[in-house]
Amino acid sequence: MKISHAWLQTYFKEPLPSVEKLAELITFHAFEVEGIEKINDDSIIDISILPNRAHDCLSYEGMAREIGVLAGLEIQPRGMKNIPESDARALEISVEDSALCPRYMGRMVEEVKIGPSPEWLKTRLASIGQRSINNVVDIMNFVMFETGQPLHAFDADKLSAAEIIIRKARAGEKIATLDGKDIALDENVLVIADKTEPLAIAGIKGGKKAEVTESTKNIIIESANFASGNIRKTSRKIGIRTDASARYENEITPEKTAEAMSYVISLLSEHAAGENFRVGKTKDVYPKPQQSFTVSVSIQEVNVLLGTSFSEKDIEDILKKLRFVFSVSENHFTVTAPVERLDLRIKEDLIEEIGRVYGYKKIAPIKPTLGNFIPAVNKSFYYADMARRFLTKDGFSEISTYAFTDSGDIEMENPIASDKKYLRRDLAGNMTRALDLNSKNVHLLGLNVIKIFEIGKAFENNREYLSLCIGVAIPTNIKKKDEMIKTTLSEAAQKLAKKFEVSLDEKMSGNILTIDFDSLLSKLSEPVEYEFTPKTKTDTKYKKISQYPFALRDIAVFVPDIVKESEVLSIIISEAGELLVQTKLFDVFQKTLEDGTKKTSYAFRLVFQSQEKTLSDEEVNAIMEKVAAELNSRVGWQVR
Amino acid sequence: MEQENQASSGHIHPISQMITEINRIFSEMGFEVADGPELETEFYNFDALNIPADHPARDMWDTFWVKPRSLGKLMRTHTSPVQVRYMEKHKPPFAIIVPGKVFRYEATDATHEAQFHQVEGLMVGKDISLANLKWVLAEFFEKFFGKKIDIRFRPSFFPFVEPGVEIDMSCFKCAGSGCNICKQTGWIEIMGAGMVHPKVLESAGVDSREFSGFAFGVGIDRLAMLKYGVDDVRLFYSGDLRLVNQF
Repeated sequence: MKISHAWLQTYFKEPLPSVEKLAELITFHAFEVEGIEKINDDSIIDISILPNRAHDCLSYEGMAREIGVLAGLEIQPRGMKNIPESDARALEISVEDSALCPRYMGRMVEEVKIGPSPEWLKTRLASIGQRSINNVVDIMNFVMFETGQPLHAFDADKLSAAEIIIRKARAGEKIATLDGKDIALDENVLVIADKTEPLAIAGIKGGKKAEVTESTKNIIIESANFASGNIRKTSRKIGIRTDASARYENEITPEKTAEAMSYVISLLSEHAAGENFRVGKTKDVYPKPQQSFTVSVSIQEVNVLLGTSFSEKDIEDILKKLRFVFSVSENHFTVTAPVERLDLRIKEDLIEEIGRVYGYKKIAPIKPTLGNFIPAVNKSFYYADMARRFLTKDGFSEISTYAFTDSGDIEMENPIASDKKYLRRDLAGNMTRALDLNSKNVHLLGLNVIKIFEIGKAFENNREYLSLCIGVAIPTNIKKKDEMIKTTLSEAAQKLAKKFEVSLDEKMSGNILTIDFDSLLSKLSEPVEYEFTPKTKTDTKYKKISQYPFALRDIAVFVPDIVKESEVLSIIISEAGELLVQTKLFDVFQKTLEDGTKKTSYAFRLVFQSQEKTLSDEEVNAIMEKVAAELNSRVGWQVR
Repeated sequence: MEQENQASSGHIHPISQMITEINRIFSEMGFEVADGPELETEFYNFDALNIPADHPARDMWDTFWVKPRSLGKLMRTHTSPVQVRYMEKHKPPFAIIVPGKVFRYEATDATHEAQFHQVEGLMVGKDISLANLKWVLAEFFEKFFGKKIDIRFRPSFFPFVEPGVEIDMSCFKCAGSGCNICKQTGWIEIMGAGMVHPKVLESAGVDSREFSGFAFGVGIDRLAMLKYGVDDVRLFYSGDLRLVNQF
């Protein structure tokens, strides 16, 4: 919720702390501050009000109360005019479902004068991104933002009679909303209706029929409370969410309706009153008034949960700072939950109030004593980790892929993409794709063979199981490729079987080997102790993967036979510069010349790639020329 | 530039490496590693964690539901259901960590994925407190980053804990002076935590008058991105060795 600093200030006699100091107080004692924006002379703080405090803090009055507590400032009472009842038409209210509508307050107001809102009101609404419509609608909105109580106004003369019925809609009923949508209703939707048809979707959106327009003379004001669960369900179903429905779905205390009603009447009398402005009796249907709640907590319970050592006086001081009404007796505090604090119901709620206002920063860390607990070794993790280390030693690298794929036994109700509708039945599909992807990059990776594996969950109709999938691809042109692949895979399987000393439940298909890891686990003994190796690798600094294609060049050079590969390579690397991203020695042989001198030939595959663009042939050729020139400049060195 | 010799070893996935490291650190602190199903029930994922249906708190997790919806089956949105399952089967005191894959129905981009990894922790016993949580986490971060890390708690809300907190750690790169990793603030928001809600304890068969506990949860992918400088979370699940072989 966006809070204007200037608007908030209207609640306090003394000046508020600066917006930065305010944000700090809120952040460390109440809510997360998403950001601060400066607009003209005002600052707008964007505060994230989570579901547990939406019922009291999605309003200026609630935020002011909270800030008054945190900053130790007094709230000044709201200046409201008390408008006496006069003889406006009688209003009938009939609530047919009090479970869905715990309280309904309605009031007839006659001879309003619709017009533009006063400047101060337009400014207030603009500061939080609300546009001004007319004085009556703006006042309804303003009071909602001030109090947290949504209000609605109906054009009284557009109703069939001065009677409002709160009921469930009937199958087949429809409503045209204020913003021109046609909504189909059913028996799960609560509506506000007159004798003939629905006038509004309760708590969510008003209908066009009883809309307040420029020509409206008489209005009925609704200040009501609706059951949160139903509002949320309906709002989701019809796809309409408003500032009003957002408040209702988080639940509001029904005790708020009266003050909001008095406030709106007072403002209407000041800014929207016609010559013969008359206000009718308040009709209030409130069969089950909200009970008062007390919450008790002992000093010990506070100290145990927080890890503090408060005295009775310490807690008393904090409760006083919170401005709670409380009593103390035999080490127990009993607090009367303020009417609007629907979140204060159990002692843990109270302990949170005490902890956050005290300040979590002040709680010193304490080493826990857990008593007699002997942690077991996790069998699945132990052996999966063993398999990982074993396979990587054998040259395989580990991949991780998506659980969602294009075929499977189990379908998702709401898939993220059309090719990700199912849970994978096995790991083979993703493995095939990964082998293809990595084969394309084999030179960039500096490899000859792609050897990869994945350990992950797969889903059959009645079973979620852990699978180990191993894949091999040989992207270069070698004779008897398929045989080599088969050999590599079956050797890997044999080695694993030997390492684990059990037979594997395995399946080989093409260049993919799948092992049922759960089945393997069931044959293995319970591990007794972890074999963690301490971290030896220094932390990797990731190098961004370029999106641009790479270029390949081969270079071979004859050198005197005492010259080592590393010497040749380091010259190539330093001459080629940073566009050379990978090198690989792919051929070495020795040759004795006619005059008896021995030479070695080294042949390298070089991979060039830029982070910024596709390299042109000319650019790469230029680098190769430079490299060749440097190599040739050495005595007895010859680029082939 | 990486010199790759085919005879040299393959590479373990960076997320696996991180999970192993986290498991090692917590094991040495006396925690047990627990795991559970990725395909979960609505009960274990939400109801047992004090997140009732038709409550706005459910909006905090965008869920993948299995068809048909009436089955009440989903892909777990956090590893917390494993904590409930563990509590049902074990009497306090205990301390567990639960690393695992979790799923959120979210549009994917460089910092958001529909599947990612979390590790959650739970310690339940006699007189376990928020101060204990502070100690355990400070210990973990120091061992994980290899240097002293400050942490701070801010009030927040999760339905399964009360009090609930968000936790920031001092930036491991600039130690608080401000850099691009911590967006110049010196702090990095790193996890959610709190004291386990009595409803959650009771629902799992633990007497909340006798025992208390803390729980915490951290996203591993995000931690890896911060620590290693990986710029796109989707790279972790692309099966691409151009990522994996850097680690």
